[in-house]
Amino acid sequence: MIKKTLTRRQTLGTIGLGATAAATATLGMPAVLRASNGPIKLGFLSGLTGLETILGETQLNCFKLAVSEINDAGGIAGRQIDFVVEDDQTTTRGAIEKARKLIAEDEVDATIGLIASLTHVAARSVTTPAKKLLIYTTYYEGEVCERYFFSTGQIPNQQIVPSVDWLTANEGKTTYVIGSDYVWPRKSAEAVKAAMEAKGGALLGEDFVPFGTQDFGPVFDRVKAADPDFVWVMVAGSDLITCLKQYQSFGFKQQLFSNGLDELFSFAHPELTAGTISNQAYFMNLDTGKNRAFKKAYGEMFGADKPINAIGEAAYDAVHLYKLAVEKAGTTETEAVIDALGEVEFDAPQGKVGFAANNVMRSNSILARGNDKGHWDTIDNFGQIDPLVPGCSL
Amino acid sequence: MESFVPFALNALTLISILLIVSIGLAIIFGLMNVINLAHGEFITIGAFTLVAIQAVGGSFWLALLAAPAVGYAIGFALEKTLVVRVYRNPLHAILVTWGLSLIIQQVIQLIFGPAPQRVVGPFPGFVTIAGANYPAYRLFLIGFALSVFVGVILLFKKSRFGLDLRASIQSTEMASVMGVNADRINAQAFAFGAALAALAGVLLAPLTAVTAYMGINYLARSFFVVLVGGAGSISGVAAGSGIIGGLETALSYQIPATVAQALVLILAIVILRFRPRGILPS
Repeated sequence: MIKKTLTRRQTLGTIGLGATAAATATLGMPAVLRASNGPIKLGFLSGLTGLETILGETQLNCFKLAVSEINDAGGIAGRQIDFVVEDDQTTTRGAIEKARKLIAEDEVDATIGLIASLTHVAARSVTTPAKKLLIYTTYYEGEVCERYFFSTGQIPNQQIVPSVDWLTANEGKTTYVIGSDYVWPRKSAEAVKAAMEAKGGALLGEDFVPFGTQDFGPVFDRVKAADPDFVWVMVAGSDLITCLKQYQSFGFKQQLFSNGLDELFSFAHPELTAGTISNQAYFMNLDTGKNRAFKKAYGEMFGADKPINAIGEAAYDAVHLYKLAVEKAGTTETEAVIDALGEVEFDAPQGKVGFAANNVMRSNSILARGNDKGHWDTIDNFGQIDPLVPGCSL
Repeated sequence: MESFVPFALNALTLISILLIVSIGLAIIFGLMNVINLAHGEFITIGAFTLVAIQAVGGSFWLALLAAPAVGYAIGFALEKTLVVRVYRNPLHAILVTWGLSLIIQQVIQLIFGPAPQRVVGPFPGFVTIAGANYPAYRLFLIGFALSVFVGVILLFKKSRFGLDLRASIQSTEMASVMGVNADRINAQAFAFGAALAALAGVLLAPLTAVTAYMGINYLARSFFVVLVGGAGSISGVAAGSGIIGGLETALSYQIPATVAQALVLILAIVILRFRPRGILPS
């Protein structure tokens, strides 16, 4: 019956009408009018399975904590936050597929999360052309300059450069990089090399191993032959634990530095991280009122003895900064929120934070040594450092 | 000479790792022809048996005995309930064992959480051989893996179980006629393969990150070892591990590790092109 009454022309007409109506609804009115009372929708995208599993859960928890704090206090300009969680499986394909899903199907207002750099490269290839906001919350190699991409983790001039200053002054002038074979360790090794040479030191060698490497013996042999003053490790995710276990058993005398170490590794394996040095924007030991409140709230929600790391704290900051920007802009419309993000400041557990003109957050730089309780004792707090992305002003 | 010793020991370590993770698969895939994508998770189960035993105060050595028993029990139960239904259809086997691997990963993560687990291995120090420091545990691993291998060979060549298994693989019907209970032999063989994988999990845990996903790292490589060595023969596993482990270590001294791994895979493909049944087929 329906077949008879529905001609192709009519069908096309109906679809056209619908599309016009939809276009009017989405484009014709400011977003704030479109859903002024409905919830704001955030996407959380990260590695909840695969190599970065050990870091993903805490990042998600910190994200949830920020959302629940904001919702309990009345939401963003009176609107509650809804969120969708997606797992990129620590793969480029997963990050691309899930970023697409969040934008196209869930129609999120912004996406927050990601750990391994290969996933921020992949997710950006979706969000930036679509002109959607993406906030990355992990320390990384920097060098990204895109209007739709913000980051709340450290970049090399906030993490690697100050660490090199201290290490060359206190450990020696030569180092050797062992890293996983992908963009973060490779690009960061270039930053290490430049920073070492600027201090009259040298990078004696670099070795990049595939994900899932089970035997670091040959690499360690090369490190021993090069005999650096300290060893710089940028092996990612659970492979870092494999590397530390084997490093210890080979009886190295050199100091181990890794800008990938934090509480998630040291709580699980204090015997491996004790004595190693790391640099992060946040450590749980930070003695500020905001941090105590943050740790208490986290403990009440997820368990008191649980570790929190800099990636998690940066995810917490990202949600709060987004909230402040939406309130300042008076809308969730992406362009307006992006303009507002550059102007807001959040009183974070690590201190007052905000974005520089290159969309990277001004964050702390704390050099610390792991102790046998799994916490990190500050060696030197370089304070807050402005991010430097050469040639980038947005 | 000083640099040859650590090289040889590193090569032997990798060969032993490959040997110990592949030998269970050599039985399940090589002999029984079940494409078992849950092989890595049997390794994980072994490692988590060690975690559980050490959590209640047990020793590494107890886990080394208990893990094969746990692996055997789980393997036996899975064979009786699932695997027995897919012997005739390799595609079903792939699907069933792949699903199984995902379920095992998630169940382990639900119980133990995503954080890496702490295990304590024996022999934490290192010994000095010809002027080079080498971790004592790795020497133990090399010795233990070789003994397990010899033990499995003897079991297959000398025991009644080995004879029955070889007979029922050659001809299930003929073996049944001669009084071999093929169903029982299959279940035992599958469970035995799972037990060996679990044993590997205990041995590898002190060297690697212990998480619910650790098994993934071993799956593809153990298939490669079995295929290159020669599916259907236990001694082929030694050949496969020796070639892949030896080459990879030797190459990774000369060229970047990622390139070395890729080259070894290419070489393995070349070997299979000219010897499709592997280096040492049955």
